[in-house]
Amino acid sequence: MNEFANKISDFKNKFVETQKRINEIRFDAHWYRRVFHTFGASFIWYYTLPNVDWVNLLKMIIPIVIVFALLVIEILRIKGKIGFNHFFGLRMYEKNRIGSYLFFGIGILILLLFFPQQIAIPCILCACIADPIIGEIRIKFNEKTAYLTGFILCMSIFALTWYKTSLIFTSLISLIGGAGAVIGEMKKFWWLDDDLMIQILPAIMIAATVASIQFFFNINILPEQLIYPSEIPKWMM
Amino acid sequence: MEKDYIKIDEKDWKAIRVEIWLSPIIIISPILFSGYLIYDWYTRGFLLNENYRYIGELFLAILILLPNLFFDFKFIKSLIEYNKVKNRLTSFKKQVKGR
Repeated sequence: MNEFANKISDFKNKFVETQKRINEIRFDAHWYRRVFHTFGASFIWYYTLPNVDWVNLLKMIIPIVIVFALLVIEILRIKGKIGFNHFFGLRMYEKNRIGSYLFFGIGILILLLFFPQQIAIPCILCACIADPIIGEIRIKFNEKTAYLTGFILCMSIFALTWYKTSLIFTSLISLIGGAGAVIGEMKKFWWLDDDLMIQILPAIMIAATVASIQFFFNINILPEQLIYPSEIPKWMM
Repeated sequence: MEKDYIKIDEKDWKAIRVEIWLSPIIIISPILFSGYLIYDWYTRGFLLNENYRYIGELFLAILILLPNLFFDFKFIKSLIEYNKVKNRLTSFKKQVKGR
C-alpha cells in the first residue's frame, strides 16, 4: 500500500514538473517576438541596392508584393481558412485582428516608399531596436522608466543618424523624433498597433518640421544620405 | 488588451516548427547586414579617406548588431531549453504509456 502511495506521489511530482516546463514553452514566444523585431532592421538593406532603373522598379514592386501576400495570409487566418497554430507568438488580442507583424511590415513599406532615408532609417530603427528594449525595461522595472529610457534611446538613434546636419537641427530632430516614437509606443489601440505608430508618427512629425523650416526660413535641414547605394556590377548595366 | 500569448497546445508543434525554420534567417540577416555596412565603411570610407561621409554606416552597423546579438542570445537559449523540454516530455510520455 505504501509503495503504491509513493508511486502516486512520484507520478504527481513528475506531472507538476512537466506542467511547469510546458509553461516555459510559452515563454519562448516572448524572445521570438523580440528577435523578430530586431530582424526588421535588415530591411534597411534596401538602401544599399544599386541605383539602376530595373533595380529601382523591383525596389518598388517587391516590398508591395510581400506586404500584400502577408495581408492575404492574415485575412485567411482571421477567416479561419488557415489555422492559427501555424502562427507562433501571436497574442490573444491578435486572434481576431490583423497581427502586429503586418502592421510592422506596413510601417516599413510606407517609410521605404514615401519618406527619404534620412527620416525612414531612424524611424525603422525605433521600431526594431527601441521597441523591444522598451518592452524589456517595462517588464523588469516599470512603465515610467521604460518610456524615459525609450525616449533617450530614440533621441540617440535620431542624433546618430542626423549627424551630418548642424548641431541645433540634430538636437531639434532628436527631440521631435524621440517624443514622436515614445508617444507612438504609448498610445495603444485595439485596431491600430504600436508597431505602426512608433514608425509613422515620428516620420510625419519630422517631415512636417523639415517642410516648415524649408517653407518659413528657406533652409533645407535634411542631411546628406546615410547609406550609399552599392556600386553597380557590370552585368547589371 | 490581453498580453498573453495564444497557447500552443502540445499537439500544435506545427507553429513551433515554423519558428525553427525561420530562425536562421531571422538571426543571420541582421548580422550579415551589419557586416556589409562595416565592410562598406572600411572600403569606401576608411581606406579612401572619406570617413565623415561613411562613418554613419559604421554607427548604423553597431546600432543594429549589438541589440541583435543580445536578443539572439536570449532566443537561442530559449530554443535550446525548448528542445530539452520537448525531449523530456517525449520520454515522460513513454514512461507513462509503459505503466
